[in-house]
Amino acid sequence: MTDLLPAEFSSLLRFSDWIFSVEGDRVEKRLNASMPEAQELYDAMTGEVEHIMGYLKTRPANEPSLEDQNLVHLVFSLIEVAQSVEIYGQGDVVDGADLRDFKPVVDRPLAEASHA
Amino acid sequence: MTQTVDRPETTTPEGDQTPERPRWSQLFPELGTGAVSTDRFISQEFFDRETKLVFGRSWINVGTVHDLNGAKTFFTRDLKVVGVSLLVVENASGGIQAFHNVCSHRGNKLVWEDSGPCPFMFSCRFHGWGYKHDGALASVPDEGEFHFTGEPDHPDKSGLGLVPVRTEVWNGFIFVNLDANGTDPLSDHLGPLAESFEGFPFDKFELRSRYEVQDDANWKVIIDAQNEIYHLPMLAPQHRFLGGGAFQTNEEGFTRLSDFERYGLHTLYTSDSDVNWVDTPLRTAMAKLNTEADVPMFPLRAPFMFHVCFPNLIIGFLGNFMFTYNVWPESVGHSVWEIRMHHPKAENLADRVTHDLMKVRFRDLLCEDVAGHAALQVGLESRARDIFVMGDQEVQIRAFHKNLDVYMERADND
Repeated sequence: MTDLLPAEFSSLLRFSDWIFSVEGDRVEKRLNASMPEAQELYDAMTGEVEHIMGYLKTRPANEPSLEDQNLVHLVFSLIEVAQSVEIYGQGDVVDGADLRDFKPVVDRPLAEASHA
Repeated sequence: MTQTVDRPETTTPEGDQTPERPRWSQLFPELGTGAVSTDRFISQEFFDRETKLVFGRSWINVGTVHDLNGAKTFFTRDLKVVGVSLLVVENASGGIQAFHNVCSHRGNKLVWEDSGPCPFMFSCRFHGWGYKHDGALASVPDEGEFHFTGEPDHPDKSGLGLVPVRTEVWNGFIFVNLDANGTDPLSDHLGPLAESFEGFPFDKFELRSRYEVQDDANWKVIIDAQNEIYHLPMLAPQHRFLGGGAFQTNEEGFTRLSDFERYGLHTLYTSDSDVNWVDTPLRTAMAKLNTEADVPMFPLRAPFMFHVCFPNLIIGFLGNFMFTYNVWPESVGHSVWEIRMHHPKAENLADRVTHDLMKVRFRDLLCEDVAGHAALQVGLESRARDIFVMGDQEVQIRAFHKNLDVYMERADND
């Protein structure tokens, strides 16, 4: 069901293979993507940022629809590749450790209501 | 190979001579200016003293209320440094208590899961002995075969509950003290640090992510490396980017502490941001589209605040973002760096995006640090030098080591 986005963002459906609900998968995708792939997502999504953020501001944080979750998860992938494009010039952290060493013990899903 | 082109040039061997403020070493003369020994990061003997005199006696933060999920839930925590497994339980009425995670029958590790609900009782996998949320032994299969007479070497069931560990909760942070003979309350330990947080709305944060990083470095290498911002303009790309003004820098591009304070055993340092600093294109664009998320929500006196809560808890703030570290020693040269990221409760999905921007940047920043920790440990273990030196912008590190020495000396004399 990851090919589903809110109707007004259907032009972004071509990036549906960047939609992942957990951080580890997004990191893996970032690390395995070529720079042209990362740049393509970055360029297309940054052009839509105003539209996307304007829309997301109208959507309450609790109990998001699947379409909205997918859109947010796509933006999360944009945030990952922005590190490649804007800071590192590659997927991996330059002069750093392996990002996979950051084991997410807790990675709260969007749909989970906060309890504490 | 680290690129050096965008690093500030070193031109001031005498240090910052800002007239308004004396140097930190003048403000804190008791910390001295001398060299620090290499030995304390690599010696088994020193590590054994820390284990016994610090981790075996001090109040230690083992988690927060975010690790539980309300009444009748639990988490476990193995403290390898002291060879103890803990079971931390929230009982039906909301009380939180830690126990040794050990069955009273044959000494089996009672609960093997990391966390979860426990609607009825904790049941041992080995022979099914069951314990209630208050630790009381409630169920013994085939009980008639046992000799529960209540005599000294035949304890009855009431004497076979889980062994409690002293537990206190401060603002949602769960602390334990493994010194069974100790009586000092947590408030004595936290002292002026707790006072500095009087009325602080910790409950307005929610935990969104937690990482555990296997780190090939002494636990103090990790704390020290985080406990200064001198390295920011140098270490690696994300550091250099933020060192360009997200933290306070002088005209030559070197970071400057805005404030440093000692709170008993604990410390605080802060940094302002440079007003003219420009963020990356994406972050600049997104910040403009969710300005509400950047309005300061917490009574913090600087954009960056870093508290070292002795011995191994860090509570830090970057704008409306709170991060905590628990640095767990496992051996002289290996530790687990536990990192938690907290954000204010999200109102809308744009807030989730704003929070993720902070999380990813901060994670990548720390990923750069991890490589540095391991490199530091290699250098220290080579024993190329017996001592090394620190400048005035590293006064926090001096304070941490001084506090450690004072604490161990005091414990040694007890």
